Amino acid sequence: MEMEQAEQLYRLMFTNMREALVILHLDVRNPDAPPQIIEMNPAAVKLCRCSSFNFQSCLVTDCFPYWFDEDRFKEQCHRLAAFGGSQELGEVAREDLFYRIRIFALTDNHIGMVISDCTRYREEEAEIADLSAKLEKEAATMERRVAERTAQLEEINEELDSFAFSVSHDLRAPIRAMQAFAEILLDDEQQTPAERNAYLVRIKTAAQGMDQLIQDLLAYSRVSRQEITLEPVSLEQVVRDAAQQLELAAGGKAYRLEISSDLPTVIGHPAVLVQVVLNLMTNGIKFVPKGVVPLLRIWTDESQEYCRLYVEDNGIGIAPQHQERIFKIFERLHSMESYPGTGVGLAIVRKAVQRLGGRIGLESNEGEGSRFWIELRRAE
Amino acid sequence: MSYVHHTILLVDSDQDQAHFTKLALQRVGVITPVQSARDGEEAIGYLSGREPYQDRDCYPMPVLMLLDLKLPHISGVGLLSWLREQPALKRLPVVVLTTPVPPADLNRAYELGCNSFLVKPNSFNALLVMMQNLVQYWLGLNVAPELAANPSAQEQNGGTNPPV
Repeated sequence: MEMEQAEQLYRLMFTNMREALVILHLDVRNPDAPPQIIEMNPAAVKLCRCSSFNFQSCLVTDCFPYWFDEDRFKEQCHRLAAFGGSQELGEVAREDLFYRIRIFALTDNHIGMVISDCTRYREEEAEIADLSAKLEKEAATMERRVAERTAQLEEINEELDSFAFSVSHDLRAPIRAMQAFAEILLDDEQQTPAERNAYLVRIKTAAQGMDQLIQDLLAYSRVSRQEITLEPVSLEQVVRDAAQQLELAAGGKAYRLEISSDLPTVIGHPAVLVQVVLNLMTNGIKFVPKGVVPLLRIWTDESQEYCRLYVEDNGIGIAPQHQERIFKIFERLHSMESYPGTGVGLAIVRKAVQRLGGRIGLESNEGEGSRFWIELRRAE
Repeated sequence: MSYVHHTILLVDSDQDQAHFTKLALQRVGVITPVQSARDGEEAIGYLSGREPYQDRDCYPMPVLMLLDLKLPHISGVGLLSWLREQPALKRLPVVVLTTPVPPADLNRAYELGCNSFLVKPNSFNALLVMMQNLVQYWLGLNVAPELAANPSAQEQNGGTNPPV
């Protein structure tokens, strides 16, 4: 290739570069002399803010005002001219755009400067940073969800363990009683007819208790597993049905029931709600001191979105420290003789209310009756 | 052999089970009436001689406590832990006689110093055999520790005096 053609090609290359290229001249004998611009390509001219560009005495600080610290730039140029090499000067922001600047030694008194627009690069970087932040967040969420799930599963496992334990315990107790009473009756001739009779009654009671427990367990499992479609349910109807069933269940036991009128419609499931209200009412008439006629009061209290159904009794009440426990399955606060039961009733109620998307609670003190409430979403 | 001055305190909330245990103890020769408590509170009342258990002639201090772990309110483990903190009572031999419990409760009972751990059998005849062994060992062979005669007086001294 001929010299002339090569020269022309270099010039074309220089002229057409998108990066701004600048050639500086340096008076190396005078370290105080600032570098002067002797050549710029069109891209550089576009950035140049100098009013009278003449390739002779133009100073970098005139052409690129406030881009550089004057003294430092001068010193950096002198060092490059003396020792060679190149140096990144970092990024400069100008009118919403960002430029990356590099200077390098051309000869021992010439410095080349490349200014490249890195705005897009920066945007991409920001985008990448943004994306990785999002990714990290997602991963953290995922991790948290996995941890939550694991904890949930562990809890369920523990619950199942203790459930199995309690079931086997509570089902075994009546069997043990029946077996032992029967053995005593079989082996022993010395008992009075009254004793024998008492033992037979205990066997029968144990069998009935076991049957009740199995029924309650089935009800609990039904309420936990059955598919529940939520629909508007009239509490009026629910309470009426539950009251009817209570009459049957009470078996002639005296009680009084006061139901306030105009009970609203809520979102729930009719059969499940009847079960809930019936269980609460049954407890209400069961846990009363001897000789007291149970009095049940039922009313509602509505807010914009929710409806609370209250079931209040005049019973023995529940001390605050036991109020959380009573909703757990197989929890019983009283001995079998004073208040028989399986310890499943309120567990069914809580599970059912959970499944209906509602809440349950109570206000009570020992000896002052109890006021249970369930809160459900109101129907429009 | 019969055991005359050997009061056993039976703590069990299941009255059928308590009845079986008492009957079995009687049949294997425990003549002293077996005292019983239906829950932790009653047991604490009995052991500390509170109303209505002040009269130690009617309600003598037991030489052995049979404890069911499945109790309402204060659990069996809770009662055991209370007992071991009472200066005047902490040496009382305790045999756990319970329905099956999770291993954690079993281990806890030993940590709290139960002296033996028995699981109630289903059969009354098996219970008889168990009670026979229990009585022979704990009331016959075993040498009982000294207990303070009047635990409530001890406690009123602020527990500063060592137990007798």
